[in-house]
Amino acid sequence: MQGPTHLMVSWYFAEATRVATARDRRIVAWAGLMPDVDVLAYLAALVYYRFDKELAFENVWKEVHHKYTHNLSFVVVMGIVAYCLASAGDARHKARIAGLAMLACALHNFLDVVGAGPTWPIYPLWPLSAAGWHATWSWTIGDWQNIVLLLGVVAVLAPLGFNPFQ
Amino acid sequence: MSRLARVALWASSAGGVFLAFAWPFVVSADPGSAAFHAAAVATVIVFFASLAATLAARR
Repeated sequence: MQGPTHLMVSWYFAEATRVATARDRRIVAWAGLMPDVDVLAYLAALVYYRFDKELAFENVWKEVHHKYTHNLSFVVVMGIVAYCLASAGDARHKARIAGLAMLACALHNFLDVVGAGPTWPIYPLWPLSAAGWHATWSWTIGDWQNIVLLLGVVAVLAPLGFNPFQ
Repeated sequence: MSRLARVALWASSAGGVFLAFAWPFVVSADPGSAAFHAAAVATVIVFFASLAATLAARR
């Protein structure tokens, strides 16, 4: 799925799980987006290859995308970061925010298996195993299923006052 | 109703994590598996529906 969809779904997820402060909701929402941080490598490659999209895609994006950020290890890293960034509170509160951040990050992986296309596997156990996991029927980013899911959720929740742009 | 939605949200979240990280290792690594297709699509639908229902119930 697309980055904005992941961000919005993760923010709604934080709202639905009654995360009290905006700061903690943002932490959970960004944790749900962070697996796509590897897009920075593509941007750097574009600059490196003087904006030759084909070279940047073939030499970097095709090799890098999903491999290092769509796995359980990255989910754990997100949990640690979320624990450190969570708003002031006791250890139990921080652990809850870390757990929700990890869940949002893990759900990003699941939603990508379903809705990122069959050519972009996730790597559940990387770096212990390089085995990828994908579905041959996975719908691609621009397919109607992704658009319907995103617009459907926004159409239901926006009129109720849930604003992910806070 | 809101309790049912919350339970469905947590169950579908756990299901999604299982389908992404455990299914290929404990059930089947076949990426064309019909069972995985059905389970994954059902989980996505329940997740989005329960997310919307949980939040709608709070308004």
